[in-house]
Amino acid sequence: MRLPILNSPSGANGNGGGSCGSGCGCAAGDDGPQGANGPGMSRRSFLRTGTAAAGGLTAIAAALSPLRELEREDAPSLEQFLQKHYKEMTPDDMERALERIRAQVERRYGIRPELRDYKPMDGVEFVYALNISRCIGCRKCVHACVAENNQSRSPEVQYIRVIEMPRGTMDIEKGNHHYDRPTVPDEGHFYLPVQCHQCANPPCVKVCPVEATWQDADGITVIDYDWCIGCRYCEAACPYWARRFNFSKPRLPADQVNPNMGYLSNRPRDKGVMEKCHYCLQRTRQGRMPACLEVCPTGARKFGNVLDPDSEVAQILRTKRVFVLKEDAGTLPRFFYYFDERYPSGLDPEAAEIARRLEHEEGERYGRLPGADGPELRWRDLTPNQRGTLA
Amino acid sequence: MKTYLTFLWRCFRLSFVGDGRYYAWMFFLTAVALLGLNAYCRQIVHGLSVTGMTDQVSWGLYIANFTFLVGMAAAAVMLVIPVYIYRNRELHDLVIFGELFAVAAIIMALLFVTVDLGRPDRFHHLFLRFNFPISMLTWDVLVLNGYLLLNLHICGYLIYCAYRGRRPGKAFYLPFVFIAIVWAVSIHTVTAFLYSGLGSRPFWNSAVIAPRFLASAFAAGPAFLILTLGVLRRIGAYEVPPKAFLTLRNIVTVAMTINMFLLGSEVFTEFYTDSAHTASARYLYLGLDGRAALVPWIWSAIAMNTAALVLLYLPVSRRERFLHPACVLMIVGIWIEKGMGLIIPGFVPTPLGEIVEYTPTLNESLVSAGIWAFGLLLFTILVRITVPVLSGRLTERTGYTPDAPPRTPEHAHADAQGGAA
Amino acid sequence: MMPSPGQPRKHRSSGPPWAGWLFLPGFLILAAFMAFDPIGPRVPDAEPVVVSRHDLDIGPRRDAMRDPPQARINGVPQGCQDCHSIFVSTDKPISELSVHREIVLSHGLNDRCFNCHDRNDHDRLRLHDGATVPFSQVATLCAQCHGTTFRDWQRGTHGKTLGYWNRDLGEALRLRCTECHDPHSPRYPHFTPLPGPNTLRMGDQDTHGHHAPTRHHPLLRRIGEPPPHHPEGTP
Repeated sequence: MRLPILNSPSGANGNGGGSCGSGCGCAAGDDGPQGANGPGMSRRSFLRTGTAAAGGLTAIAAALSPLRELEREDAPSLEQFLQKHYKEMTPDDMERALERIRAQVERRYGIRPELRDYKPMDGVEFVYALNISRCIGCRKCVHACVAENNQSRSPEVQYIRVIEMPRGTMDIEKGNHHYDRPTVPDEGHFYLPVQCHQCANPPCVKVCPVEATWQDADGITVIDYDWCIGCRYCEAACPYWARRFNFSKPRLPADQVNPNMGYLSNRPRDKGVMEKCHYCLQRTRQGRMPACLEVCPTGARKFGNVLDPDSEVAQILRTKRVFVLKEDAGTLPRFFYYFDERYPSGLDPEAAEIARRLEHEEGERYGRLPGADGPELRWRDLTPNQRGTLA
Repeated sequence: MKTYLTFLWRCFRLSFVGDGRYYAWMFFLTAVALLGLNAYCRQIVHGLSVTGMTDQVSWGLYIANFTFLVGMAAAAVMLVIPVYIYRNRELHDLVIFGELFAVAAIIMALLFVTVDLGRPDRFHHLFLRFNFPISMLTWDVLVLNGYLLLNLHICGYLIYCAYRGRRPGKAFYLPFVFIAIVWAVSIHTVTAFLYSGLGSRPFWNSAVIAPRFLASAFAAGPAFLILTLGVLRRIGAYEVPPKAFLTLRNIVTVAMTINMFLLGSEVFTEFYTDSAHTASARYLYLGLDGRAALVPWIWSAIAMNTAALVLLYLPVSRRERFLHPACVLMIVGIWIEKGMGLIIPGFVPTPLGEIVEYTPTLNESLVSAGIWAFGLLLFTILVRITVPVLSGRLTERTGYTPDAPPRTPEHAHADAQGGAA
Repeated sequence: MMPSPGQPRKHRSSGPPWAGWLFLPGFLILAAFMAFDPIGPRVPDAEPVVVSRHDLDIGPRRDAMRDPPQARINGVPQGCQDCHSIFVSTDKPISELSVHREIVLSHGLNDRCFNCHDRNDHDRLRLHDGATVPFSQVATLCAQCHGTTFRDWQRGTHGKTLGYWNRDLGEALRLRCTECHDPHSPRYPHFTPLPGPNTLRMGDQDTHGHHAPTRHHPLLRRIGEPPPHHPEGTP
């Protein structure tokens, strides 16, 4: 049984070796196959080999040609390549890294940022509470977060996702993420904003192979954007879909840059790394409120140090009926939803019916009676049923 | 050392020797591999947005192929067990082909993981901060690379010994072979644990994932080996005993039966319970909320696997005319089942209930095809070298002698004992 | 049964002699294809959603009435007692008044002006027992009926808090009732929601049959193509 060998004159095909493809290595060589042909044939086969090899090299160069579009900044500098993990950086290392990032931001956006590495405060454990009786689903929190945290606008990265839930269920799969109504809140629905819950037992920290994400002492789960390798295992592991990946280079207009930046929070990220809500630690580790809370018009969001018994969040946990999402996942989130004793008016159908009768169709943004000429609502006009439901 | 370098040089030159079919095959593979490299360069420049992956479906074709190939690599051991544990001497040399295939498959799997990374330039971070033993990905890194080294050693040692006409020393390869048996099971178990350990994805958070992975791998891997050995036999390169095909066929049949049983078990648990946790299974088998892109795929896969299994149970599949198509059906069916039937539905719906479907882009498919082509190229070259060595046509003493009469493996060893060391 | 493995199969022809020269043109065609990239990849190019700074204003929603209270009568701001020290207050409903027509009273059961306003001193608000409070302490008045809400507001769990959570580092600013609620129509108004998610390749997310054109279709363009022009205001 033979291999079909073609470059020997006594080969099975009897073609005298002329049917050899190129590169058979049978030209000169003391350990070449027996019966190597004469010099004329080997020059030809050498030429064949050479042209084929040249063609191959050209093809390889063409294959690699898109790399010429790489920008200088895409390729990591030696300093970046050798940068240590956050937890191993000395203060000098950190200052060098901060200076590098400041220079990079100035180059890209023309703004010299105020960039610091904010350390956690002692004796602080952050907790977020959200009053679902008050959330009206306006999504201002979503966009305030985008404005504060230098997120990519195209493709748009939003850390907060507001879900419109039908009344009567807590099954998130029945929710609608893409509601686009003329006004909110809509009757028969309530609203659940979801962002990173900074879980006390975080599955994302468990699965990261390089420890690029970890939980700091104040409860915030942070990401070192210079350490992440972009494997996206954490994104698969999060039960709240809180983590985002930069599939392409983030695009941020220079006039929308927030120059107040933190190393582990809102400094501009690069493509190929993960990011997520970090409770605006460039604000909160200085004692301020996160951006989503400040913009919330109804005051549905509450934030603070749960270790302080007088804080708003500690009081909420003591006095309100709180719950967490997906408690059975065992993640121990630090984000609690709570509700007041009564329905918000958006949910009470009888009240909504009366309100509809009272409000203009082409309502301005504020509820109004139909002019000053319409019928007034008097206690004696209400049916007993209606009297019972108006709080 | 000089002998080893000469050996490597001879192997390099030998990989360029062949007939017209060989050159056509190698050119085709090279072309596809280069197209894949080109597509990957575009991905480096523009980021992973050139793929079809999104925040909702954050793992796609690359990880699907990775999972499938880890399984195929694990299945190489399925030849090792009958030979070394059941002392089936006739299949002895086929172990090498299985392990060569394992080498190629592991290299492909590692390449797939590398192209999936957002920052492959930070690969070295794995060596500096390694979240072992908590993160299952770190286990995966260790076992896959260990398995690669194990197989490279075993194959390299056996081939080099045959090249030098020496009898391989049992101490140098036998312990590794037994380690490889256990290790092969571990690589696919660890890969399965990557998925089954995530509480956020109820579709994956099931104990049956690991057994199913092993069963489907041990069906697809030997099927691929059947096809490879069939090709070798057909081009007249190597004398493959028919017993090899039959043994492999039996292995494939048993593994596929177990796989179908586990599939039935999973389907029953999902649909009988009918809780909210079954949304992903609903999406896969029936469609969810009007979105049903995967439904034709999974049902075709089940049909292919069933047809292959039925064919394998019939005595006609002892003939290669029926065995080979059954193997092809099985490999394609299992590929679909592992890729589209496992990875993608885990992401649909998202943990917050959003449904975003996934379609691989052309660029992504080119990168994947390129890696497959590169792996097959590697495998072809490895086989191209191994066959002459094992049949005594490439030896240290005589160099490359294609016209020499073939040696059977036993003769090669006897010759070595009688000949110069 | 398997055919006997001993006999080799017939060799097929290995091709014409010039076949080996095909490598060069083959590779060159491949190289040209890759270098000029006629079918390059498509990337999603979602137009960035612009949200005005005005929508993200964090300040109080309303200007609450300060002390001394003033109202605009025919466009002219005037103190309350300027008129009401002269004119007698009436029991007519607002619809029959000639002034204060801009006030819309929709406070549920609370449909009488002098439930809250003091008939004798219009610069102050009237409690149940006849005592009066200035406008800056309106919370005391609201608390009479909305006791539980007032209790929550005192704790900080109702209503908006701006500023610092850490009172050692800065002040917390608690908004008063009338800085969010219009006391005459306190029901919180409806808002137009800001734009929803706009993620890569998410496809048509309108599965409820509305089929309204959504903003949610990121355009797919080839790398290197200029983004198509969007006229202002179109999705």
